Parts: sequence; structure tokens; C-alpha cells
Amino acid sequence: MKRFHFYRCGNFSSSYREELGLFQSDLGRLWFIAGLIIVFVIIPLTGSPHVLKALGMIGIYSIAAIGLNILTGYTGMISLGHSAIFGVGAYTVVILANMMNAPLYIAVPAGGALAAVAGIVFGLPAIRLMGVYLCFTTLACQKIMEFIFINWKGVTGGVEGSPPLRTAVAAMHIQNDMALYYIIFTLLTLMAMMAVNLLRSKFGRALCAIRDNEKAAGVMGIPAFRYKMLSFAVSSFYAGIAGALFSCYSLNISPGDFNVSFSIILIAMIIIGGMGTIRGSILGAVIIVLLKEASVLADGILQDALGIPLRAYSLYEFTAGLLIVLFIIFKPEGIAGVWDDVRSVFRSWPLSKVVNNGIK
Amino acid sequence: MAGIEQLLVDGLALGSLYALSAMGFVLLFKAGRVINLTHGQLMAMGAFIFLLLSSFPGITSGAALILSIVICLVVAIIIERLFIRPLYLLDIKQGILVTLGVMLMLKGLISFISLTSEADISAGPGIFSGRLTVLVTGIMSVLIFLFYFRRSSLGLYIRAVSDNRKAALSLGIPIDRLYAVAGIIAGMAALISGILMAAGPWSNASGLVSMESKIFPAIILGGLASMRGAILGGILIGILETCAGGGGVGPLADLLPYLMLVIVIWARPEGLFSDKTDPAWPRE
Repeated sequence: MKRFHFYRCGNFSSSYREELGLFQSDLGRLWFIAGLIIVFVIIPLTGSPHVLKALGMIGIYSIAAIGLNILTGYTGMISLGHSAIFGVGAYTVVILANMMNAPLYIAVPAGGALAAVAGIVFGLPAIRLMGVYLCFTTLACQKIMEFIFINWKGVTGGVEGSPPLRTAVAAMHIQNDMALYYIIFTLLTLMAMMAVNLLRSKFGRALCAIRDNEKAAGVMGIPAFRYKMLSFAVSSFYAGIAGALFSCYSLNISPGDFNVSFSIILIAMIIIGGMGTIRGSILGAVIIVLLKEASVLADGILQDALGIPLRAYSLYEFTAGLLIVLFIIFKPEGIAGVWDDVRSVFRSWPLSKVVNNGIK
Repeated sequence: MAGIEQLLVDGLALGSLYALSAMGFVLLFKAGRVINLTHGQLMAMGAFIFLLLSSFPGITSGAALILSIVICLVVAIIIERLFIRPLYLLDIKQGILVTLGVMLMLKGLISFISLTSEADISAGPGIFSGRLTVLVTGIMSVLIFLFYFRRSSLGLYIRAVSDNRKAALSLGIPIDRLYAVAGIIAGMAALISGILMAAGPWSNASGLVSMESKIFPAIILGGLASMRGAILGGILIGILETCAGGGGVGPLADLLPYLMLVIVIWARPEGLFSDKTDPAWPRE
């Protein structure tokens, strides 16, 4: 019988294959299975509708944050246009469902594909330049897309919002939230696993090389332009799928859902969670949704106690911004980095020195 | 439809305000290689402070102007001390992320205050209703800024630090004080340009939201590290925006500056005035 390893005190890998393995110990595998059981069995059986709703939001944000992390955390390119790309996915679903009666399993992948095309168009002007210029082009593309969302009234419904979806999605959604919950989390699991595997393959290593030193990567024979483009496309695909799910989730979307603030909040997710890690993206999405819920709660409490109507949304924006600043200045690795530190303190306990043995 | 001279004067007036703000951005970039994406939001902050003060019944518009400049000075000092100063130690991309966070914070703060105070900030008092007044004030501010940058010892120091930081340090330039002053002046340039914009005929609530990133086309068009470029870029974008809107604030005015930005980055990313010896050359 195989001996299980639950907690290793060092690195005992005896081959490169082993070193690359997804789980360093059997405890990790156990946690993964336990997590799947909790998400797919226990929560749907016990959770209240409100909890399911919030978890659905976490799932959608997680997919988008994983996408952004591929671009920002792994390739080192900052995009301020991801909320518009998210919006492209969302509006694609609305258009396909309302005008062509497309079913869900066509509309959602189509949203992702169209978003990937939009992402390539966003990235094209600035990808050959140094990273700073990408911020400005993606910001401009964000503004241009916002303009299109607001003014192309025949399709998007303008500022007032889109006409509600009226296909199978809507019918299924109204009957039970559970179906949507399962769709979101199945997709999240699949896409997170896809991202993990993609990023530990040749593709991911090429992206990290470009992030760390583009010139050196080029000298080693990595075609930087092509890989940056691919990274943009993959990242936008993730954002588009998330957007498509968002439009099934909220059923009525308006251009205000896809503004610059949301782009920055997506960035906040990966900074808080941890740049360059997949679990960091999911952690960040959890924190942001909790923050949203907490600011609604604080709004209610303060209104009852003091009679001051604190505005939940502005509180949420302010706190998210503050968290970005604090994390970048004090802990740029994010919560995933804190987790790694704690683990390595325990692992090398008598020496009690933080050894960074996680791959950044 | 306004006549062509009217459009040009309007555009020049708006453009001079963009130029003032863009010069602040360039100053900070030259001094410490900081890309301050909060800059547009700071303009909105200045406009908001002025509109808020002038909406109080007891305050005349002249008093509101002076009071808001004083408050803006305090805001600029706080932002410089808390958020800009740590950036000199960080990587340029980390700096961008910090300024994004500050941008979100200011956005939240503005909407929080405006919703809580329930003040009517939809229309300014319009003390500079004549566009010519704004034009003169804007151009005066730009000239004062330019004169200060070209002629004062501080401007000389900043240019020295921008050219070669180590050499400047070894020649005994007080670099800490220099960064502090540069950060405050850059913040003030954005805030004052926002105040003047709110005092002029462009003040409305939707303008406040769209102001958050209107400045970046001007900066990119002129080139990140060129004062001349900032002035020319600001004025060109101002004229473009006014002509696109046909005198008012049409929907096209929200689109064309950003299209311009994308085209400039596509065709001539270094902007109008940058040479290949400049440290901000984009194909680094």
C-alpha cells in the first residue's frame, strides 16, 4: 500500500515530474477533494438563497480574476480595460439570446470568444511598447467601449439597461438558482484547473520569463510579441466567460456595470489575493464580495444607529482602493503570500525563519 | 451651432486647462518616474470641492474660489505625503497600481460626500461665464508654471534629476525636498485646473465623472516627458473635444480624445515632442 505524506518538512522530490506535480503532499489532494465536496454537495444542500446568490457572484468574479491574473500576475501587463472585455461577454449573451434565441451552451462560449477578439484589438496598439503604455491604451479602449455600450441603443438598451434575457436561461434561472450555481462552479473548477495546467506548461513558463525580463526571454528564443498576444487573448477569454455568466446571473445589465471602477476592482481582487497565483485570484474574489456585503451591512447599521445614510457603494469603492494601496506597499504578494509565509514558518518551526520556498 | 472662431476660443480655453494639468503630470514623471493615474481624478476632486463650496448658501462664488484653492493645497499635501512619496521606492508598475487604488479611494470619497451632503452640485455658479476669462486665467497659469519650471532653481534641479539622478545627487541637490515640492505642485496643477473647469462653463455632474481620464489623451499626445508636448497636447485635445461636441458637450466629445490616444500610441508612441535620447522612450 502506498504511504501517504501529509506534511513534508522539506523538498523530497526525486524527479522533475514530481517537482512539477500539482500537489506537494497528499494533504493538498485531500483538501482539494474536500473543497469540491463542500462546494458541490454541502453548500447547495444547506445554503440559503442569499448565500447562494453571493457565492454565484464569487464564482463569476473568480473566473474574471483568474483571467486578469494570467495577464497581470504572470505576464506583467496591467490592463485597465478588463471590465469592458467582461462587458463584451455579457452583451454578446444578451444579443445572442434576445435576437437569435441561442441556447446557453452556445451563447456563453461565444461570449468568451468574442471577448478574446476584443482583447486582442485592445492589446494590439501597445503590446510592442513598454508596459506603461498598455495602461493608457486599455484605459482608452475601456472608455471607447463604454461609449459604444451607452450609445448603441438598439442593441445594448443604452443607459437604462438591456432588455431582460428571454431564452432558456431566463426560464431556468427563474425556476431555480441552483442550476446557475452549478453551471458557474463547474465552469470555475474547469477553468481554474485549465489555468493551473496552462501556467505550469511551456506557455506559462514563457509568460513568466517575459514578465521577469523581456529582453532575456527574447534572447532565449521566446517570441515575446506572440506570447503577449496569446496571454491577452486567454485572459480576455476568461473575462468574457465571466461576463457571459454575469449576464445570465443578473438578467438585466447596464453600462454602469462595466465602468473604469470595476476594472480597478478586478485589479484589486488580484492584488489582495496575490498576483501570480490562481488561488490568490479566488481568495481576492471572495474578499471583494465579502467587502461588498459588509459595506451594505455597515450602511444599514449606521443608518439605524446614527441616522446617517452612508452610501454602501462609495464605501465599497473607498475600502477597495485603500486595500490596493496597503497591500502594494506592505504586502505585494497578497493574502496568498501571507499564507505561504505562515506555512513556511510552521514547516521550519524550530528555526522559525520565513523561508520563501513557494514559486512566486 | 457656434461659429468657428467661437469654437476655437472655447477649445483654446479648455485646452489651456488640460495643458496646466498635463504639465503637472509631466513634472512628476520627470522628477521621479512616477506615472500618476490619479491625476484625472484629482481634477475631478478640485472641481468637486469648488462646486460643493459654492453650493453652500452663505458663500459667495469669489470666496468659494479662494477657499477651495486653500482646501486643495491641503489635499495636495496629504496626497503627496501619504501616497506619492512611497512610490519613489517602488517599481514603476507597482506605482501605477498604487495610484489606481488612490483613484478608486478618491472616487468613493467624492460620491460619498456628494450623496451625504445632498448638495446640488449639478451646476456651478459660472463666475467665469465668459470663456475669454477662463482662457486668460488658464494661459496665465500655464505661463506661470512654465516660467517656474524653466527659470527657478527648483525647475533646474528637477531637470537635472530627470537627466541623471545619481549625478544630481552627488552634486548635492536636496532630492527629498525636491520630490515633496514636485509632488505638491503636480497635485495643485491638477486640482486648480479642475477648479477652473468647474468655474468655467463646463461644469456639470456628468462632466465630473468623465473628467477622471480626460487628461490622458493630452499627456500621450504630447509625450510623457515633455513640457512643450504637454502644453501643445492639452491645447490640441481641448480644441478637438470642443469641435467634436460642436460647442456643447456632445457624445462625440467623449469618444474622439480616446480614439486619438489609441492612434497616437499606434503611430507615434513617443508623442509629439520626444527624441530617442529621452529616458521615457517607449520602446525601451
